Order: sequence, then structure tokens, then C-alpha cells
Amino acid sequence: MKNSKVSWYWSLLAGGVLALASAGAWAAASHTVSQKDKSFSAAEMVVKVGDSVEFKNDDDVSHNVFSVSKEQPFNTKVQKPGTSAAVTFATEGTIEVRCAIHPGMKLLIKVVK
Amino acid sequence: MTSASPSTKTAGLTASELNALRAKYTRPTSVPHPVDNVPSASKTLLGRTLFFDPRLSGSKFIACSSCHNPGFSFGDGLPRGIGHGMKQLGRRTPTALNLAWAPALFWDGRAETLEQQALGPIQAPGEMNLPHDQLIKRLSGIAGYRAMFKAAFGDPAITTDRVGKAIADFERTLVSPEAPFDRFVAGDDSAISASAKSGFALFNGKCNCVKCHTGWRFTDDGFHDIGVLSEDLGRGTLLPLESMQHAFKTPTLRNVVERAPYMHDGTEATLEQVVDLYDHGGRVRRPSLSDEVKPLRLSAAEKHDVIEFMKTLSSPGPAVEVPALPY
Repeated sequence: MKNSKVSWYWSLLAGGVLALASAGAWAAASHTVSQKDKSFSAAEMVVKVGDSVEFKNDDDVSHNVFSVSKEQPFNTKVQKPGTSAAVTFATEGTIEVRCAIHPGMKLLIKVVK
Repeated sequence: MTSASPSTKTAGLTASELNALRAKYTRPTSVPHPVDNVPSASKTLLGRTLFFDPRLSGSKFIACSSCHNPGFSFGDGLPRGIGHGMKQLGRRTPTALNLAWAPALFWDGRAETLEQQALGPIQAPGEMNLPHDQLIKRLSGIAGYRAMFKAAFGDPAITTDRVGKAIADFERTLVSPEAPFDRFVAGDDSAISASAKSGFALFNGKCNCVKCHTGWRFTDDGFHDIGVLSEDLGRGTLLPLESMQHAFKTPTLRNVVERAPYMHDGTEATLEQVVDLYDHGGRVRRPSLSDEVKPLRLSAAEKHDVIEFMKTLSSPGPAVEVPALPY
């Protein structure tokens, strides 16, 4: 996974950068997915192109949310308990999201126009 | 769950705290099976037969059971496995116990199902070294197997897919029988010693073990770099994320005292050494080191208690009858 192709954004708390969303994204919605008990709070979700998803670590262990989907690969890197990472989805498609550390954590995000 | 009075403390925990912890380790009442591999007695028998048959290797010398030896809690007791040509492999043989619940197999998680996993070592040149086309040709020439595949699948066709399904079906029967710890979880306070109870409290508290060795199987099935002094990148070879460098799958702790040596490469000879590794926060510090691994500063008594606790996770078996092989 090359960083140049990666579209992920650290939260301000983690010292990352703010998302520079595509044109019109200022009207986009923000969704939240919790990570708790080594599970995502949803197994599937639908978002629109330009929407962002905030991955919150509500667990007592670290997580590492990522996707190797061709539409939008991303890597939040290691998220300590209590931190969040937001990802803006810029491309239509079905994105398989997982936690690298805990392979049982799986989420399917359908990005639609 | 326990008859202790609310004010009585066990290993520093109140009765309600102890019961809350015990509930996290309750065993499941059934074994999960995939919808496309429904179990049956004939399929399990076929899988058990294949598991013990050395003709599934190029040399006709190595069976699945050669490394996953029931006498060694379905491991081999070696630092690293021995494969084709008696050559040492790069990693230790993991136990085949309790894999029905695992979402990823092998130390690096390269197989997502037991069906996939079962087929991998058969054709791996360094392991059993029998390409799948030769495997099918060889098995198809054994009349007894044709009859067994017919009984298991409805017709005598022998395919790679069916070999994987039969072995996986058998492996799902390899579930650790009840151990003293399970009786403790069920409410028998006398099932484990006071030292082991203290170790249980440490396991869930100061030692931080529970962050990865979770639930009744004592594994989160996750991938962590725990600071083993090794160049092997583990999961990182498949998933090039920083957190996955030197990361290996969390092994179960069931029957752990019978499965020395430890770690993915057998570099820790004893459980005492394993606890020492964790006490130091790993043998090596590097960017990929898991957040859950940090120096513990345990006393000698605390180390002893944690090991006493791990001893309560052992149970004999499961008993597996070695089958007569077909011809």
C-alpha cells in the first residue's frame, strides 16, 4: 500500500492532518463507527461519495483500521484506546474494512453517489 | 456462580468481581461449522483418516499428525517443525486444538478457513511436498478412499476441495476437554489453588495478558509483535502495515504447559522464560511492538502465580483413535 494512494486522515488529537475533501464535500455527512469489544459497531453501512466515517476506538486495546480495496485503500495506523480517525470516501464502490490486529473485525462500506 | 459471601475476597477480588471475570471465560455449548461444510460422521471419519495418513506427503512419510501429534497436544514439542527431507522449518508447529472458532489460520493468518489451511501444508515443498494433482491421483488409486469419499460426499469423486473439507471437519472435533479452570469458571472454588486464583487475577489485571489471550480459548486470534528477538516479519509479509511487522497470531493457552517450547520460533524454552519476556516488555523494542506489551515489574511470587494459573488450563485429550488406513 503506497502512502501516495492512501486517503486516510489522523484526528487532530493524533497529530494528523485534516481531510481536504473533494469539491462539494462541505455538504457531506459524517458517520461514526465504534470499535468496542474487538468488534465494529456495524457489519455493513451505506455512505455517499464525499461522506466521512469516524472510527472511534472505544475499546481498552489498540486497533488498526485499514482497507486494501482498490477503490480506496487506507490505513488509520495504530489507534490507541480513546482516539478516533476519520476517513473520507471519495470513490464509489464497496470497501472492505478490517482491523489489522484483530482479523475478526470486519465492516463493509458501500459508497454510493 | 460462587457460594462465597459478598464480602469475601479471592486474590484481592470481591465475589462479584470474580464472577464477572469468570463469565468472560464460559465455554461455548456448540462448535461452529460453515454452511458449505456440514459435518457428518462419515466425513469426520474420512478427515481423521486423511489426517493420520502419511501418503498425503510426497515422501509417504509425513502425515498431518506427524507435526500435530495428539500426544503433544496436537503440536510436536519442537522449537520449529520438521518438514520434507527432515529439514527444519522456519516456525514452530501450532497446536490444532480449538481451531473451529479461528478467523485466520497459520502464524501469519494466511488462510481464512480451516478448509484452506488443511490443504496448504500438503503441497508446500518444505512441508509435505505433494502437489494437489498428485495428491488426488494417489488417493483416487486407493479403493478404500473412493468408498469413504462416497460415504462422506454422496459420490466417490476425490477432489482437492473435498480433501480440505474432510480434514477441516475432523479438525473441528479437536476441542479441549474440560480443564480445572473450566470447573472454576462453572463455580467450583476448589477446582484451582489459591496461587492459581491469584494468577488468574494477575492475568486479568497487572499482567495485561487478557488483552490478547481473551475468552475461553485464551486468544483474540489477533496479530501482535510481542518483542520476540527474530527477523521473521510474520504477518508483515502479507500485510505491509507497520503494526504487522514481526506480528504473529496469538496462540491459545489451552494445554500450554504441555506445548513447550514457545513463541513462533521456539526461542523461549519454558513458561518461566515467556513470563520473563513479558515482564521485560519484550526482548526487543521496535516501532511495531504491540501497545499491549510493556514492562510489568512482577515479583517472583507473582510470576509463580501466573504460571500456576496457566497450569489449570490443561486437560487430557481430546481422545482421538488412530484409524486403520484404507488400501
